[in-house]
Amino acid sequence: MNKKNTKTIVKITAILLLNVLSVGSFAQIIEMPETLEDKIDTLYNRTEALMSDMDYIKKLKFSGYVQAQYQLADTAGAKGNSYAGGAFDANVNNRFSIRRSRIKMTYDNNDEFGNTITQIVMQMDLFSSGTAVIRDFYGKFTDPWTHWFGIKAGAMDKPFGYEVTYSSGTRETPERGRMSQLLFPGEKDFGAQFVIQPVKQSRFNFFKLETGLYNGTGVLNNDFDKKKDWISRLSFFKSNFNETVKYSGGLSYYNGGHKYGTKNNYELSTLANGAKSWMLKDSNTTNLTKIGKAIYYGVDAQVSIDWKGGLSTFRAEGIMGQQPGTAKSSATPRTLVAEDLYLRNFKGAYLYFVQNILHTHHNIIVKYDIYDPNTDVKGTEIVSNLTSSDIKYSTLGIGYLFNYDQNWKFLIYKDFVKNESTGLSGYTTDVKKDNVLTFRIQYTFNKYQ
Amino acid sequence: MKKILIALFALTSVVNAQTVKLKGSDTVLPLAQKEAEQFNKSGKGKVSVTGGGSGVGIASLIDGTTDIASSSRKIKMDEKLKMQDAGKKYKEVIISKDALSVIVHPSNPVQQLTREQIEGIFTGKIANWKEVGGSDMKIVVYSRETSSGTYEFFKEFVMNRKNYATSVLNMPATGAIVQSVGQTKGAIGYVGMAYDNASVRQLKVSYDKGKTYILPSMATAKNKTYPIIRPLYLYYNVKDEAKIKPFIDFCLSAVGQQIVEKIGYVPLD
Repeated sequence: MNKKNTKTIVKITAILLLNVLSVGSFAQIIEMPETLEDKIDTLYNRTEALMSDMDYIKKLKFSGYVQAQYQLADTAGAKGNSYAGGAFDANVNNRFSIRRSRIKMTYDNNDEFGNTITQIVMQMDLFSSGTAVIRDFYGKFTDPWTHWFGIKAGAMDKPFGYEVTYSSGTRETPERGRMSQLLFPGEKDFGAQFVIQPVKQSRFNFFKLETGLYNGTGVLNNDFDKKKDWISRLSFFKSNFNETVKYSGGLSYYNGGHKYGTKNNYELSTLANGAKSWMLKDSNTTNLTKIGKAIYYGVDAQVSIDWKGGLSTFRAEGIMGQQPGTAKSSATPRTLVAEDLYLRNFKGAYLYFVQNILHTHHNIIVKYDIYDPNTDVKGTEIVSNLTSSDIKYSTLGIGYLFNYDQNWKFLIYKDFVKNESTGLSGYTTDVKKDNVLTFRIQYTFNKYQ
Repeated sequence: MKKILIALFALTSVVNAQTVKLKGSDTVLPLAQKEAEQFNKSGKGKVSVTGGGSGVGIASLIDGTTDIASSSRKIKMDEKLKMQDAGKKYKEVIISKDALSVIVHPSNPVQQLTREQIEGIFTGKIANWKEVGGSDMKIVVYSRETSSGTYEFFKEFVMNRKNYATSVLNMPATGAIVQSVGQTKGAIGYVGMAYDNASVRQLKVSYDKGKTYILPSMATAKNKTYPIIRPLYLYYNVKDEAKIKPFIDFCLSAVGQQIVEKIGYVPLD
C-alpha cells in the first residue's frame, strides 16, 4: 500500500468516525465473544464504564461569551461619558474593542436526588483588559440535610440589587448604569456569604436571603483596612398559575466603608453667597484610624409578561445612601486613597423596558437611569469648590437587539447622556456631545446547559 | 477518490439530518417511544426518543441539542425568557391527555377520597387512615421528585397550590411509586393512569366535596367526569417546523391517537 492510499484510508476513516460520533453512536473494533451471554456481559460492562465516565464528565460544565464592538462617540474624548465601556481617549471618537471575553467553568457535585451539594465556579476574562483576569472563583456548599442553607466563599458577586448581579452576557444593554458602575466598580469582591433558600417543597420557596462580609476592594486589590463590608439582599420571585406573568423583587442593604486617607475631616456647608463647599471640620490625627461609612439602601422590582405581542419586561431599581469618595470621584475607592475623603449623600434609579416583538428574534430596549452623587447640592450651588463628581446625570438608552440563536446576538444601542446645569466651568449647560453609539456582536456557547 | 469521500460524507450527513431528536418528560416517554416506533416504520422520517424530565427537555430545546421537547407541564416563564434570549420562537402542541390516579395498597379498605382529603394527606394534616374512614394505620405518602412536571401538576391542581409535607417520600420515577405503594400497606401515591397495575388499587376521587366519586378509567377520562386530568405537550422551534411537522401530524392523526389510547393515555377530543 503506497503512502497516498494510506492517507486516503485515514481520511475516510476519520470522516466516517466523525459522522458516526455525531449521531451519538460509538463503534469499536473488539474481539467477538463466543456466546450471546458473553456479548451481553461485555456490552453491559462497557456501558457501565461509559455511564460512569459520563457521570464524571457531566459534573463539569464550560460556558462563555465574547463581546466584540464598534463604538462611535459624538466627540473625541466624549467628555462626561466614560460609562459606555470606558473613557474614550482624548483623540478618539470611535473604536473597535473586545468588551468582554469570558469563560466559565462550573463543577456541580449532586446527591442521589439531583440536589447540588458542592458547587465550584471559576470565571475568567481572558482578553478584554489586555490580560487574563479572574472574575469569579468561589465554592458553594449547600447543607445536605435540609438543602435550605448554603455557604459561599471566594471571589464572587456582591449580593446587592438586581443590575449588579445580572449577567453581562444576558443583559440587553451594553453596560450597567452609571449608578451601578460608580457604587460597585468591577462588581466582584472577595468574601464569604451565607445563603438561605427554602427548598421547592417549602411554602417559603419563593424567597432567598443572601448575606455576607466582603473586603470592599474588588478582586484585583488587597484589602487595606480592618473594616469588612456587610452586604445583604432579601429577594422573592413568583409566577402566576398560567405561567404568563413573572414578578420578582428585593430589598438590599450595604454597610461598609473606607479608611480615611488623611487626618482631615470635611463636611458640606453653605457659603455666604449661597454656594456649597466642603469645609474642614477637624484635623485630629485620630481621623486616620476612622472609617468613612458607606451605607446603601436598595429596592428593586422586575415584571415579565407573556402576551400576543411578545414578552414584555420591566425592571426598576432605586438606591440611596452615603458614599465615601475623593474630591474628583464619587466612585467607591478600591485602593487606599492618600487624599482627603468626602462623604456624599446620593440617590439614583433606573428603569428598563424590553419588548420582544411577536415572539421573534427582534427586541426593542429603552432604559432610563438617573444618578445624583451628591443630593445635598444641586444646580448652581455646584461651583468651583466642588467638582464634576457632584453633578447629577441622567441617561436615556435606546436599542435594538437581534437574538439570532443560542450563540449569536447583535445589538445596536445609543446612550443619550444629560448632565444638570451647574455653576461649574464646562458644565453650565448640558454637555451636548457626549452620546455614544454601540454596535455589538456577542458569541455565546453552552449558556443554557 | 475525492468523489468517494464527498459521497460518503453526504450519505452519513443525510442520515444524521433525517433523525429528529425528542427529549424530555418521563411521563411522556412511553407514549413518545411508541409513537416514534410506529412513525419510523412509516418511512416518513426517523425520530429518536430520550427521557430526562420536562425541564431537561426544554433546556435542551433552548440550547439546540434536541429538536422536540416533551413536557408534562406548561413551559415556565423563566424558560420563555431563555427562549427569547436564545432567539427561539417555539410552538406548543398538546398530543394527548394523562389522567392521574391516586393509588393505595390493594389491602387498604379505603375506596374513595375527596380532593380536600387528598390535599390533607399530602400536606401532612391527615396522617392516619382512620381519619378518612380507614383502619388505624399510619399513612405513608409517596410523590415524584420536585423536578417532575407531575409533581408540580399535582401540587397545583389537586393540592390547591399547598406545599407537600416534609415527610413525603419523593421517588425518582413513576414506576418506583407503583412498586413502593404495592409493597407498603399504608401507602398512597399518584401515577399516570397508564402505569396502574394489579399491585396497586385506584381510589375514586370527588371534586364536589363528596357528592360524587369517580374512578379513573379511559371512559371517565374521555367523558371528562374524572377530574384529575392534564395535557401532555410537545414543544419545538418554529424554524424547524418542516422537519418536525410530519411527526407531529402523525401523533395527532387517528393512528397516533389510537396509540395514545392503546397504551393508557387519554386521546384528544
